Amino acid sequence: MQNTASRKQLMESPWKPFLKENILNPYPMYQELREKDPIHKTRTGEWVITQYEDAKAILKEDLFKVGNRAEWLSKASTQHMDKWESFSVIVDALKSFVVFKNPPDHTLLRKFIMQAWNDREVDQIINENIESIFSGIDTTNFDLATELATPLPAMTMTRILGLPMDDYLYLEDLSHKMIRSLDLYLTFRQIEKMEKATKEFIEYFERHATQKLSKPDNSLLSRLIHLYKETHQIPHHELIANCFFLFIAGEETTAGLIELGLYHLIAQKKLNPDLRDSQLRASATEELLRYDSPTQIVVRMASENYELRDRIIKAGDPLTICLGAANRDPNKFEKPDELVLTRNPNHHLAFATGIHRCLGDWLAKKEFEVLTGKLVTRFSSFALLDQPVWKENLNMRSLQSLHVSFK
Amino acid sequence: MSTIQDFIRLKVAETLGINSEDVNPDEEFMSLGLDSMHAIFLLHEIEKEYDVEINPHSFWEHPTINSFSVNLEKQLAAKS
Repeated sequence: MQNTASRKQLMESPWKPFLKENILNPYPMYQELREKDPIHKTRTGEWVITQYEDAKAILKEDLFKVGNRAEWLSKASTQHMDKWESFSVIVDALKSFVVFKNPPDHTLLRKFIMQAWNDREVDQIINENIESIFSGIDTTNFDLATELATPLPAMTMTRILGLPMDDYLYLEDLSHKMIRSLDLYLTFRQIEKMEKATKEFIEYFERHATQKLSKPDNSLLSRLIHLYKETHQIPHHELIANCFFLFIAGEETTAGLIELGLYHLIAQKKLNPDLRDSQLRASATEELLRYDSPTQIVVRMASENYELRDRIIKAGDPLTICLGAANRDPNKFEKPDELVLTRNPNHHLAFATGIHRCLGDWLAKKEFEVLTGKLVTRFSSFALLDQPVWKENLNMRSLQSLHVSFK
Repeated sequence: MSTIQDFIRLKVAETLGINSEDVNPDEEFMSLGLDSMHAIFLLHEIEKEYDVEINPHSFWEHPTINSFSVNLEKQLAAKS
């Protein structure tokens, strides 16, 4: 009997992304995969990649395409037409997002966005938002996740895009609904909510883009819509979709970085006056991004057969690339499970790499660095009042709540 | 056999276009021929029938009709 049990255990895949314990702490599962089967083929047919060099090679190789989720949803809505009322709005939006586009469209769209988004003077906006948040909370007892980490990036993106500040909570809510489109497992109700949120996003951004046309200002939305008017380089619906994509992308992951980053700094007693030094703050930010990456997983689809070491990845095969596992690979990082704020070099993959590398990485880091600098200047003691509550999502790691006290 | 089990077995059979008796309740959903897309619809049908919210992870964590039903029964009992 024992023999049968152990054989079964051997055959059992360590990749169990649906188990709560793995969602709350995926690192032991990653380690097992990285050591035993780093190019792992799951029973559902996708490849799970956990070593640094493999992840990097795949992300840099153009034959691996993005857009799996949009394809999947689109296939579902055509194959199950009778049951699938209509989820065409979310499918079209996902297909328009720069992050899910392949060359040559991707090249053009990304260039278009970068051309409009050339203003990196955001320190003042961030500072004002932090002050505004602090003026409304009791810093000796508050929820860092919902009262600081979530509103700061949402307010910052609202300001950068040039939208009315009062709207940030509304936009944040739509964003939370849409980000679920990246979850590994979806429910029908979630897709319904995503569809509705997408419609509202489109309506909202159409309205504000029109206003910026008649009343131009220096905001990102205004610059995007005017660049569109002058060049017509991209279709109008793609322009609108990417306006709210920028909001979502700038909000969700940055909130994750602030939550995870500050949690680890406080828990490991590393949030202290040393971090007044901007150089240390910069390397600490990189290290926190490596140590517990907000974006844990990105997916790709092979467009041709590809030889990855001794394995053949066939055209059409989906790949799940675990950035969080690559960032803890001992072949790349010494003592990978330790948080070493001075780590240098630190070529982590938290923002991915290759043509789809995050285009707002500088903004996320800036928000975290400005905030941390302010905290260690203003307060001298930081305490956790409770254990953190994690959001149960493997792809995007973040907190539901984190009760803290700053004095 | 419980009603929940019967219901799920029927829905699985409908999805696959076969008779309910031909669906082995101890075989894994995946080897029966259900995929992640089917999972969404199947779970939605069950949610509507039993007025309950189902975590999509449970389809993979309890991957047979029998184990899924047992788990759902527990969830419903806890609810009432």
